[in-house]
Amino acid sequence: MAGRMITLRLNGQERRVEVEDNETLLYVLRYKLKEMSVKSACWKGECGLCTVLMDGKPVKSCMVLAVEADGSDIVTATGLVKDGELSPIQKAFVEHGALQCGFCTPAFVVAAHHFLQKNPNPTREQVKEFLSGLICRCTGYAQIIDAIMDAAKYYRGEQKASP
Amino acid sequence: MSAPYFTLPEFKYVKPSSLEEALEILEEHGEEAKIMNGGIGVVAFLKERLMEAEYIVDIKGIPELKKIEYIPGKGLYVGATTTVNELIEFLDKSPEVREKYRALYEASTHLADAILRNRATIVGDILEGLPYMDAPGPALIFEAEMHAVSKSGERWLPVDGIVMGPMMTQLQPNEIVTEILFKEPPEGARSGYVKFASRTEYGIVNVAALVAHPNDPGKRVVKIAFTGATPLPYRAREAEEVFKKPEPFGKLVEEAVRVIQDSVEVLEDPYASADFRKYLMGILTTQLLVKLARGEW
Ligand SMILES: Cc1cc2nc3c(=O)[nH]c(=O)nc-3n(C[C@H](O)[C@H](O)[C@H](O)COP(=O)(O)OP(=O)(O)OC[C@H]3O[C@@H](n4cnc5c(N)ncnc54)[C@H](O)[C@@H]3O)c2cc1C
Repeated sequence: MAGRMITLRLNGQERRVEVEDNETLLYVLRYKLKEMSVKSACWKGECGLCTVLMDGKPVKSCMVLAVEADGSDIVTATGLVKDGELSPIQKAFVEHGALQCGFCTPAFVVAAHHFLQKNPNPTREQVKEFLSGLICRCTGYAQIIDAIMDAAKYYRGEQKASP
Repeated sequence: MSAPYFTLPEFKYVKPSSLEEALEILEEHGEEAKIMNGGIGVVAFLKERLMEAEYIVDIKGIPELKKIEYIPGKGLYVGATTTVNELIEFLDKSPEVREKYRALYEASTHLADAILRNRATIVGDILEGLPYMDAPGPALIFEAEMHAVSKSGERWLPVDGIVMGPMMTQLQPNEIVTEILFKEPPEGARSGYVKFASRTEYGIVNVAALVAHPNDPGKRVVKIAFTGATPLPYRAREAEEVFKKPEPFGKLVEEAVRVIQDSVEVLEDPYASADFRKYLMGILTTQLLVKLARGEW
């Protein structure tokens, strides 16, 4: 099969990469573009750990073809870091101990970042409902929800992002 | 990499930018071409090797397939590529329309998860044809129809009967669904949706129901539909007929539930036995109908 070149913006940088039509976005991001924050786990849309923002919306990249991402803007957890400094949502995860093994963390932080941008004043219930497509097998979710509720103040503009 | 789910079989991806062009491709390649919408079902079926395609035709580049419009008296038109989240956002902004289509709203907010709903579409969910889909039940109680076009013409097809099995429908290989119409509910109607999912995100019994004028036998309308419980989406027409009788609503609920439990062909699988599903159908339908009649839904 002949590959084709696609161009996408990955965390603000334009990247060109040769893909096959039958490759998933997860495969191309992780194994061709070496974006290791995109985790490879269930490959069937269940665990959500390959979640990235595609044109501003979270998608499970194992259920998207890489060719579909041609011309799109992709943001991963890596892209939330600015000038070497973690973003407020990432700091909140650290402060609340919202991780143990850390494998699911990149997906949770990019998804939560999107969620809080849209809904900076959520209830715990809304956070839980939003997280239903993401699986964490260590924390039991309580600290993750705490971290997201706490980080919400930055998205409401009540607190500046820098410490 | 050859482990299951890592790979997809080979195919050629095409993304037409007009309906014209898409119909041309389907006409030329027939069964060899498969339509991809949000792709959640298509990618899953390809990975599982339950589907083959020479061409995958991505319809997301066709502008007129994306729309949402409510026309009073006619109903709610949802474009084929409109995602479930786009529908939810529209209904959140139009509370009056949301109340009219409450069952559709509830089913949508319980369909898969908030991330998958950025890709999954209502039309794709119905056409995927697995038993537990959330969108078909509301489509049945709002007497929904899909608009299908091909190079040789166009037609409106009722959703009731459109699905024949997983990835199998009454649509011809050269047809594209452009939109679905959820018809205007009867005057005074309330609708609701209950998804019972015990161990998975998939409902083992999903009930959609609509009730208008419960206490006025002359004007009373009741519609009931199931997914999850039955192999195909099921509109309980015989049970609906029961409500034409003059007896009080509560009494007829009992009779209607018995009609459903006696007549329906129920699924049996590792998630739930047929008996358990029938039991749930009875309880969930009773609760939903009574709450709708009391205005508690
Ligand atoms: C982890 C997981 C959990 C899920 N949980 C749920 C759940 O709880 N409830 C639920 O209902 N679903 C659930 N799903 C299924 C998912 O919601 C569906 O796969 C999705 O809605 C299908 O829509 P799509 O747009 O992605 O369709 P696609 O996968 O693109 O298409 C599905 C089928 O419809 C055909 N098709 C689509 N659009 C058209 C058109 N315009 N004209 C003609 N044919 C067309 C395609 O050819 C294909 O046969 C789940 C899926 C996953 C992976």
